[in-house]
Amino acid sequence: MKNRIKIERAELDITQEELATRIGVSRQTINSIEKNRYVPSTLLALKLSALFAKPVNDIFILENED
Amino acid sequence: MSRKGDYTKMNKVLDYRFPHNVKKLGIAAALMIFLFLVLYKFDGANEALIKDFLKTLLLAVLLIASFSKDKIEDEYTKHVRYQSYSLAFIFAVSYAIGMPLLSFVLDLVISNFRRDGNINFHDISAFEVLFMLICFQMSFYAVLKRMGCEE
Repeated sequence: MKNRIKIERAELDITQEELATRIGVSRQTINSIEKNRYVPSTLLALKLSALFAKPVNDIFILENED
Repeated sequence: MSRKGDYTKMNKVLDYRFPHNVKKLGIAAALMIFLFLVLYKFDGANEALIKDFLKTLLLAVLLIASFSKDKIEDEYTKHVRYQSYSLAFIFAVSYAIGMPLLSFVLDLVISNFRRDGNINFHDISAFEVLFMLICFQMSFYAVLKRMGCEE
């Protein structure tokens, strides 16, 4: 599964640290999600979706091997 | 109580962690006890009761440190912690199996050179396995978390 968090973050012009603070997680969590090392829970995905004002499906995209 | 209630209660118990400050205190206490144990051994004193008490205390403070929160506790830290517990379990069991075998093989090689036929199967203590288990867990936790920070 790939994600567009880095792009969405760039559009909002916010750092990983700012994004992390806004959704109440650590910067490491955001970094790991962006690098595809960690798949977030539904709760965190929904928080990201609300913050970026986009559906979850637009932020997280399934790939063929998933 | 309903099953859902039981499950929530169980999750609360499983997710419980001591405050972050306790981690530093636990590690500091563990280092002091470890140092004391080493000094106690080199001092020539060999009171089994004191040694056993200190070893148990060492395990207790390490467990408390391992059971403490991070500065920022979120789902990723929980995920990394669970991974570190799984890896530590595998490594500790491998250690418990591998170390006696390794010492047996070394004994075999050495006795072959010396031709004294002195081969022993060294058993490892429960303290050693539990100590290694907690040390593995804390090390894996730190390493896995650092891997998450890498750009």
